[in-house]
Amino acid sequence: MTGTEYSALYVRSPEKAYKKLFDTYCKYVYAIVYNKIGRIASHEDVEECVSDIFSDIFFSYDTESGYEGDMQGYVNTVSSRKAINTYYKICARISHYAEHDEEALGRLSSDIDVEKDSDKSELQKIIMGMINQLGEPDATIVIQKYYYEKKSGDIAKLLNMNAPAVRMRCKRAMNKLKEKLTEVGITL
Amino acid sequence: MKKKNKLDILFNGNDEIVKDLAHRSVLDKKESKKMFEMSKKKLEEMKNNASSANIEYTSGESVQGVENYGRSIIFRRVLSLASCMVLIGGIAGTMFLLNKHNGNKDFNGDLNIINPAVATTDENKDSASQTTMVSISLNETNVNSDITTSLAASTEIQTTSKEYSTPAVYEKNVVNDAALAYMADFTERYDILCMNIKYVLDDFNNDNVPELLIICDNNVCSQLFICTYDGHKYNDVTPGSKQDLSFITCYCVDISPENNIIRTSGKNCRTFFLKINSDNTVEILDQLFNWWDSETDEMGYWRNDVKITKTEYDRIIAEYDTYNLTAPEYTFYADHNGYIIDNPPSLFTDINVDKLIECGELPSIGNRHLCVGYDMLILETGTDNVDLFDPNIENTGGRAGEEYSSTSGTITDIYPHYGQGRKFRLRVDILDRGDNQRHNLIVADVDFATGECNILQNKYPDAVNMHF
Repeated sequence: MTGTEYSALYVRSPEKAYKKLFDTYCKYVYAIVYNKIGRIASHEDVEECVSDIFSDIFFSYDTESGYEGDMQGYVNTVSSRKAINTYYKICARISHYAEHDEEALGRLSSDIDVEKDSDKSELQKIIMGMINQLGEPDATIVIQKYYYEKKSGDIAKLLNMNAPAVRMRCKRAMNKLKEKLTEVGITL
Repeated sequence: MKKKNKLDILFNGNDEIVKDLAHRSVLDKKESKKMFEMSKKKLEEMKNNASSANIEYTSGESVQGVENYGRSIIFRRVLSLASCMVLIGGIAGTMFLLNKHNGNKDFNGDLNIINPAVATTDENKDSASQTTMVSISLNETNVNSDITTSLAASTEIQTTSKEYSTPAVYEKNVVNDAALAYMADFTERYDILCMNIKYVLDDFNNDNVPELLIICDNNVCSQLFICTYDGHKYNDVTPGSKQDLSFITCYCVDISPENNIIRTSGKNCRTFFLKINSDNTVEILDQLFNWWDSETDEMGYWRNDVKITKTEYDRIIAEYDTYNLTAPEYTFYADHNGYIIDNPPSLFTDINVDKLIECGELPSIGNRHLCVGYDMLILETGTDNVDLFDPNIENTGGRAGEEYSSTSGTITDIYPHYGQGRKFRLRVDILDRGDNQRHNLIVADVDFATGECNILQNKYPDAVNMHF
C-alpha cells in the first residue's frame, strides 16, 4: 500500500483507511513483533503490541506529507522500535520476580558481536530455505507448530484440514527437515 | 521465559526472515478483528489525551501523580532478617510437631482420609445429667470431648449412639499423585497406540473428588478414557462401546464440568453425551449415529442434505459481513454433487444459539439460505465450558438421517430412509448480550431434502441492533 493510496482513502473515510492499512500489514507487523518478543511474551502481549503499533501509525502518520512510496518501510520501522521497547518492558516486568535472563537478553540483535550475528543470520537463512523446500502445507504447519507454538487444532482450522492429519504431516515434515539439516551439518 | 522450541533460532531474524514468516497465515479472522478493534480503541484514547493536553491550565485545577518511594538499604536488611527469623521459626515448629506425632505407634491408617465424626450421647436421667461425647477420628487419632448438661427429669439410664456420615475427604496432592501414577503407566495399561496424551482432572459429579479424563490419539482418531478415584487409585470406568472396547473413539471431546456433560463426536464415530454419576458410574445420556454415503463411499465425512452452490455460498458470506457476524473458517463440499459434507456456513456460527426442532408442515419456497443454518440443530457444544448441552431441553437433537420422537424423547437413526425428505420447523433464538435476553429471530419450516423453506417469522434484520 502506498502513501498516496492511504492518504486518498483517508480523505474519503479514515475508518476505511485504517482497515485497509491493517489488513495489508497485519501479518507483517505480527511477524515482526512475534520475531522480536515471541520468545518471552505471552500471546496477549504480542496482540497488545501489534494493536499499539497500529494505533501509533493511525495516530502519527501524516496523510498530508505527500509521501508516494510503499508504506512498508515506515510500518517496519515503527513495528521494530515498538517491539524492542515492549521486549525491554517485559524484561523489566520479569525482573520483579527474577534476575535478568542473560540468555534471553542476548537474543536481541546487538551491534557488539557482528560476527555472531552474521553466523546466526546465515543459519536462519539456511533453515528457512529448508523449511520452504518442504512445500505447502508442510512448511506452514512446521512454522505454526514449532515457531508460533500453535495447537494442531488451531492449525487445522487455519489450513482447512483435520487435526489428526495436521499432527501426522507435522511429524513427518519435521523428520524430513531434520534429515535435510543433518545432511548439511545442522542439528535442531 | 517460555520453554525452548525447535525453531527458536528463527527469533530475532533479519528482514528477509521476517518477510518469509509474514506471508504465512497465522491469525484467524477473530484474532485480526480483535487486534483491529484494540487499535481503534487505543487510537481514540490517544486522540482524547492529545485534545486534553491542549487544554490550557487554569488555576484551581488539581494535579495527580505517583511519587516513587524506595526504602533505605538498612531498613531492607532489617526486614530481610526478620523474614528469615519467621521462616526459621516456622520450620522449627513444623519439625517439632512432626516429631511429636511420629510417637503414635498405633498409627496404621490412610493418611489421606479424614474419618467421619461420631457423637455418642449418654443420658443419665437418674442423675439428671446428660453427657455427650464427640469423637473425631483424624488419621486414627481420636479427639474426644465430653459435654455434660443437666436434665430435669430422672427415670432410667438410656444410651443412644448416632453416627453422622460425612463423605470421605482426600487431600488434593494425594489425588493428584494417584492421577499421575495412573498416567505413568498409561501406555503399559492399554495395548493400543497412544500418542499425544492429554488429561483433565476435574470434579464432574460434585463429590469433591476429581475424575480423570484421558484423551490420546492413535493413528486415525482420538480415544477417551474416563477414570474415577476409589480412595487409593484411579480405575477406568469408560462405558463399553458397541465393540465392547474400554474407550470411546472420537475426533473431538467437548467437556462441560459445570453441567457434568462430556460429549464425544467425530466423523464415523458415534456421538456420545456422557454424565458421571455420584456413584462414579458413567451414564450415556444420549447418542447420535453418523452415516456415510454408501453410493459414493464417502467414508469419513458427514453428509448433509443441503445442496449449495458456490454462488449461494458467496452470497451468504457477504451477508455475514453485512450483519457483522463471523463466518465459518472452512466448508467442505463433495466434489461429485456439490453437497456440503462438513461445516456448512451458518449465519449464527459464533453466537450462542438455542435450537428447537419439531415436525413441521409442508414446505414452500422461501429464502434458501436459512436452510444452511441447520447445522446448528445438532446439540452444539464448544470448548469454553459454558452454556452447552442442556439435557432438560425438549425437542433437541436431530440431523437429516436421524429422527426425533417427541413422545419418547429419543433420536433414532433412519439411515435406510435417508434422503427421503425431512421437514422440520426451525426456530432460532439469539442471546442479546445488551439486555441479556433471548430474542426469537426466525421461525421457518424447512425441508432438508430439497433445501426449501417457508419463513413464518423473520426478525433477522433486527440482529443488526443486538449486542453479541
